[in-house]
Amino acid sequence: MNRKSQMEMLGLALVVMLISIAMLFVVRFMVFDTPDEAKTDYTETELASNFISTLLETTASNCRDLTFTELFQDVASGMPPYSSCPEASKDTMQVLTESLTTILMNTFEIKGIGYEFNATTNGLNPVYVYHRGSCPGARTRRQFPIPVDASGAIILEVTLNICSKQYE
Amino acid sequence: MKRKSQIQMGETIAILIIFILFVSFGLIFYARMMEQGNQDKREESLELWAVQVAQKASFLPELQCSEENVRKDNCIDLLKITKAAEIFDQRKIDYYYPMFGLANITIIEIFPNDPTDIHLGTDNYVELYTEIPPNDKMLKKESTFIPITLKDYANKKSYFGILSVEVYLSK
Repeated sequence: MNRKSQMEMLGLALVVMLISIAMLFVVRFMVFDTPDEAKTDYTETELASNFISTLLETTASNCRDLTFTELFQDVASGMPPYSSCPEASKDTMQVLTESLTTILMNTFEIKGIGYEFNATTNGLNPVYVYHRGSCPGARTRRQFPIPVDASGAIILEVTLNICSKQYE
Repeated sequence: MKRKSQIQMGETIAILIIFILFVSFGLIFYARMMEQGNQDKREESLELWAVQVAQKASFLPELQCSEENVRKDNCIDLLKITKAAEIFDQRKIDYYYPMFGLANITIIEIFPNDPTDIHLGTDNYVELYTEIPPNDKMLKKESTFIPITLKDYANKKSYFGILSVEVYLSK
């Protein structure tokens, strides 16, 4: 009888051991196996910082070959009427808005990437605000300050948020 | 007594069968998990490979801008592109394939992208490197892109472009 009890206990221990091993595998593969987001992180960071730096260097060919930095400065420094762009028969604000919309659409919207782009002076007065989708959750943020006047009193902040989730 | 032994033997055999079943289920589960894990690893390494290829492509001296012998990041010299496309074609197998593997690297002009004012290729679009596996052998495709300045030193202008990289996982 004593021997039988010992055997039953051994059997029970074996069953417990098997269940424990099975649970260990389940935990190992299902709970701790979080996906690696190296590529997403890298892509969003590179995308945000490269976008702004590339944009600010780009020449607006339909406005006296000014760069976007100069267009932003012109729009941020003065009240309307803005300087004119004779090639396009428009002012700098119109050229900036149209060109930026084209660039943003062909870079982000075509790929379904949600973003928020805005340019404000001293973090308050919006010069340009544009977004597609919204970033309620995680986002990658890049901000570039551009001095507008020689005294440095007015600083234009160009900000781009890349949303971690694609929009519908 | 003989009958009791037979019953006990039957019990032992039943327990053994159940045990073997448990172990088999465990092994099948383990094999499936390992297979899934390997698949995930391959896909993950493809993602990292996509990042590596994009990085390598954006820093290629064959394309990169330089001013007074200082290399400029995230900038492609438009004057270099035509020649670079030829070099990519000539040295594809011995030099570029080990560097990029199965991939497709293209440069696209986003702005101004005026059809009457072409700066890049014949359609403001240049395919630098193309090595795509056949559809029936392709398992997965990973795409990434980097905004890049397209510098026209002849006219002292900069255009907005993207460097688009696709890498492929094949059987």
